[in-house]
Amino acid sequence: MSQLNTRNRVALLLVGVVAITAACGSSASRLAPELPGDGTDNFVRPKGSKVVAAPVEVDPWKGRTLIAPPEAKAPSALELPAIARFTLKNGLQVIAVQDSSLPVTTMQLAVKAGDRNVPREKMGLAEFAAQSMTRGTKLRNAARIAKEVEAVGGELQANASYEATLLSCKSLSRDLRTCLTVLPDVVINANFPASEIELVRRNLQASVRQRLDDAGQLASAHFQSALWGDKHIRGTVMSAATINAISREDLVAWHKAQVIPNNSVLAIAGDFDAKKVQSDLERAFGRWKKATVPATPAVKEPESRGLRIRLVDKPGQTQSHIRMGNLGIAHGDPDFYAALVFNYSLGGGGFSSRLMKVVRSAEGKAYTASSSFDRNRERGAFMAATFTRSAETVATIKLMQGVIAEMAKHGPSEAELVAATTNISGSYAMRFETASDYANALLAADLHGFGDGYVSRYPLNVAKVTRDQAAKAASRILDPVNGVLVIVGDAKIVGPQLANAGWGFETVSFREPVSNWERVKPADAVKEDADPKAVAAAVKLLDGALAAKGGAKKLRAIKSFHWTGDAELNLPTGVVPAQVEKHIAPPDRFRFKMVIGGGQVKIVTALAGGKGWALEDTPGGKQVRDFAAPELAALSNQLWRDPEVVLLRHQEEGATVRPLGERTVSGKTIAAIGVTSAKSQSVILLVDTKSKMLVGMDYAEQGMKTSERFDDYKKVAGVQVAHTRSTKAPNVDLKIKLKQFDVGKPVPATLFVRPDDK
Amino acid sequence: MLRAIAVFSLLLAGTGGLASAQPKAKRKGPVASLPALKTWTMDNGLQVAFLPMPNAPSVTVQLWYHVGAKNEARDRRGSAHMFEHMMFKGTENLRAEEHARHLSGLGGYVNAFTTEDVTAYHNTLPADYMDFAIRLEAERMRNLWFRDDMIATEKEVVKEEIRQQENNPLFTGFLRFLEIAFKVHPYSWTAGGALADLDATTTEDLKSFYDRYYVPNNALLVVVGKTTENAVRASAEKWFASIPRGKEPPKLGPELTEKPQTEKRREVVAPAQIGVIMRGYHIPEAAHPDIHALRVLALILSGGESSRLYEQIVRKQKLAVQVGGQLVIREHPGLMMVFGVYLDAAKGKTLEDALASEIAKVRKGFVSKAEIGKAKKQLQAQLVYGMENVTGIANQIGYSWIQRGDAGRFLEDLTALEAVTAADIKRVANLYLGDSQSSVVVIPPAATTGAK
Repeated sequence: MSQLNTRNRVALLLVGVVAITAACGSSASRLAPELPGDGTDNFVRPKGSKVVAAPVEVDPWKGRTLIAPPEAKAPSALELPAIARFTLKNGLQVIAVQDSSLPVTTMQLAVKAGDRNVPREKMGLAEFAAQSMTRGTKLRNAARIAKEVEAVGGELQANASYEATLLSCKSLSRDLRTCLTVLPDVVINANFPASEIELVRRNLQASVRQRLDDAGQLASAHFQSALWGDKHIRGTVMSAATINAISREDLVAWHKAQVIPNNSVLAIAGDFDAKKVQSDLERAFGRWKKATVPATPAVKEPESRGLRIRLVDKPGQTQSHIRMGNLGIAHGDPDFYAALVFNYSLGGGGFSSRLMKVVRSAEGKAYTASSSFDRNRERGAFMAATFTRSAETVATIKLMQGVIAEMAKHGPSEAELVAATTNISGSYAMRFETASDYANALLAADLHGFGDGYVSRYPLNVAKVTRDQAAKAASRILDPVNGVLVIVGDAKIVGPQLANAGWGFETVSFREPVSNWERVKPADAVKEDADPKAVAAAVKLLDGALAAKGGAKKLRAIKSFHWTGDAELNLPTGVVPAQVEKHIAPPDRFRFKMVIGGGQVKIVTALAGGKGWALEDTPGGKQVRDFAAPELAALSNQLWRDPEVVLLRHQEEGATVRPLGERTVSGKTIAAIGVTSAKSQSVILLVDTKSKMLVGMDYAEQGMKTSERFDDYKKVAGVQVAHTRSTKAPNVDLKIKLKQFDVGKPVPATLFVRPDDK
Repeated sequence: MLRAIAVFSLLLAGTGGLASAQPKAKRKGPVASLPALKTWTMDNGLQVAFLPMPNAPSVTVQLWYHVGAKNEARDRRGSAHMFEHMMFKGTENLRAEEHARHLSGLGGYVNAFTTEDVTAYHNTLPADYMDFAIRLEAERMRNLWFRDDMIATEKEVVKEEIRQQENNPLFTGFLRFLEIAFKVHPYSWTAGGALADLDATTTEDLKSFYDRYYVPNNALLVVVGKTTENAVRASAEKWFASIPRGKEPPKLGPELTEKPQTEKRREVVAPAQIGVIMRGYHIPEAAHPDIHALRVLALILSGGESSRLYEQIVRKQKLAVQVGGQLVIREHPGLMMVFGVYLDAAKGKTLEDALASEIAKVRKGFVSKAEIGKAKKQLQAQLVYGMENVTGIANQIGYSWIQRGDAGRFLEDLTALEAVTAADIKRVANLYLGDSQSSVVVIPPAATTGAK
């Protein structure tokens, strides 16, 4: 992608234009303090690839004497320049690295509050505040700030990351005074003028909108949301609504509470007078008042719960952007260096990494494939990424899963270990070209509670990692089973591939908000607008349907339902016959059995007393597994909406009814009515307005849109029962004809006992 | 981390406006008196540029080939870029991707890029291994191994890159803009290439491309960092001297010279999530003396948030959320572009008029001394910031050679920029930025469905 960078700077500028709006100066250099050496930017940039017809290619170079590289030198510690550290009277810590070889001085202030510290409803607040701070103070308006800095060719920037808010000012050293005046002014006196705030707001809105055109960016955002969920702040991504929820009062309050000297670190680097620097800074930042450091809100790590797949439908995409991964590690984790090393071999090391070799070079599926770890104080994510032409989506995913699983199982080889450690430790010192590079690294280390030793000994700590350590870390950290997979692509092409693979997945439109809590609303907002008369009519129709089914009293009295039937299971390979049997014992038990292919495959799913299990008995062996929390919730929702009892739901306490209109299907008028329980379980019921029969229902379970249809009603023991039924979902296509239906037959408790694995 | 003081003081010496950081160390004198940049030409025509940076932690070794997308035939768009990929695919004596992997194992990294004018290869690595990097560059200048299966595959990989761009409406809008602005000259397309042309490219096409352009007399070796001139000379001789001089590569024919534009061109293209209006004007080639005044002018218009476009269009009139400008300076006549990003479709027309009106003001000569001074300071500072890393300096050297035929020409820029006057700016604005010389592309913002 670096080719794109240089190939067309203007286009990039256009594409990247929103991303650089934080820059007040004339160019947008990178702001975030960076710790070099994570093995992801030291690698060889991908250029070529090799696809071979046969899986194993004969080595065309066999028998030749090839050019061999010189031996790499043993790693050494990074020699640090003289570093001065002191604390100002107001508690502001300072790191000063003096070097006059270039007449440039850089100041960088890190406030230890970022996205991590904002309420999710106002995600974007830290960034909003950072961008607004440089746009107006008690002493200078936005235009004047820009003018003062740009008049000396300076660069003033502000932005927020997950853990910190960063403000920087860079200038030629003879103009250091400008930075020494303007930077403290925006930090201390920012006053958030209304007109400038609206400008920043529009800018942030533009960046959210622009994300929709950038499938890669969108995929990463959805990965974050899918992995961290609603309970962890990392699972929330800035959206149009969260930006609009931020008021001027919020910005002022954030600035007052969070932007305080005793929760910040300042780095000054380059050409300055070492003797005067402390007094100069004391004068510049003296009026910044100490305050109580606000508590950091608690976060809850998501639980492991199997592989969750989200397909983000972006019609017209010719490529799928793929992200997969799981919870990673914290920066302070004892396995941090070991993880760097195995990740270099896995996907951090360009052509030296397996993902690239397998996915691109050997299979030719993708232009590039990589993997990385977040480096944060708290646990971050492990994520692998690629993009590929739509038709290759699932094949590419499977390849990547295989590579990750293999690394988890055996770790890197000896040769890979050497390649990883020599590259990461050998390239480390090269990253320190200016005083500001040292200051940045020290500042970043400081934010995570590490000292100078972390920066200087880094190459040695990487070099020390043994193969055994790397393998153990890989096996501990990589978790291909409990993670998330996100695909942004055209669902028309990708959906069937996922279904064919037998994977359950949710589908989300690319236009919907990314964060789960914004997208999944208990009941639609339409509810409030519904006409009370229409609601009353819908309730009346449901009452009628319930009466036609057999009546509330009768249905409530029935302790159990049982039925058997013949089924057709539509698989990608063709239609397969099956026998099905279902026991329903409200309110909390059901069991579903399916025997496929004349007994070759047996599948049983059972839910009872809040626990559930599934049995899979195939020629390959027998397997029993217990369901985790989200799956249990899904099963209990299925029981809630079982067609024999679902018509009772609208009469239950706290339920809401929502008329969704009528349509004519084969000459019949069908009303669609949404029903949502007090616990937010929901279903759309389709009722024939004339016969009052329930002809179908639509719902989403774990994001998957599912349609069930009912026909051929016959009365059994006073209850109307649909004798043909079908279920369609992205991964299910099933038709059932009932053979037998029993009402009130005792249900043996043994049916729900979890079988052992044998 | 000590930087190239010598070069740097050179840059500043002629400017007058930029005093040194330490009052004692004020430097004066002619610009050309202390040439820290060494350049020479080898017998086979390979040019070498070397800049020592004794305290840098690394060295960068770069090969700049004077061939880019503009040298491609109209039905072979993407050849230069395709070739850049092939340069990593192995030689007679090196397996595919081993160039990259070997340097990686030494703690280095490699990169390459293709533009309209150049294909450049970068190797940045610990200084101890400079000789090895030079050896590998010499190896692939002559010994590339063309294998049909490799070429077939590489086409697919390049296509993935092209598809990535096709999926972004801002990028496709920009490509259309180039087609509108350049009717004749190959700047009409970018180095990315086109799917159909790639399919049509044969192994023979690629071989003749290699023989025609990948010759020592069409390349510049740039070395910047912690090493010595003797070491560079020795390595260059050792590995490159045996490569024979090639035929002089063909130059673009006069029939590809863009005709002067006499009528405004405008097109509305497919919408994107955010709207963009681009407006461009033809400007002369990089070596033309008017470029200096245009650089100052461009900064006055769009250099930061105190620039005219930002002040007027974003801050005062609130017509755009972002504005910008870019001088696309190339070896042949390039473009000056301005653009505005907007969300509200209803404001498109007003924004378009506002961009035109800001250009009109400059044509009338309403440029203050303070604005000119500010732009010059920005240019000076940027030049110094560019000295902060070895690859940044090497890039300046490389572009100076490609665009102006002289690796050290960029060292004289500050003096030339310092001399720019308000009259110069008015003159170049009237010469190049007339309405009838403009091309406009409008990418409207998509209707906002669901956004609140």
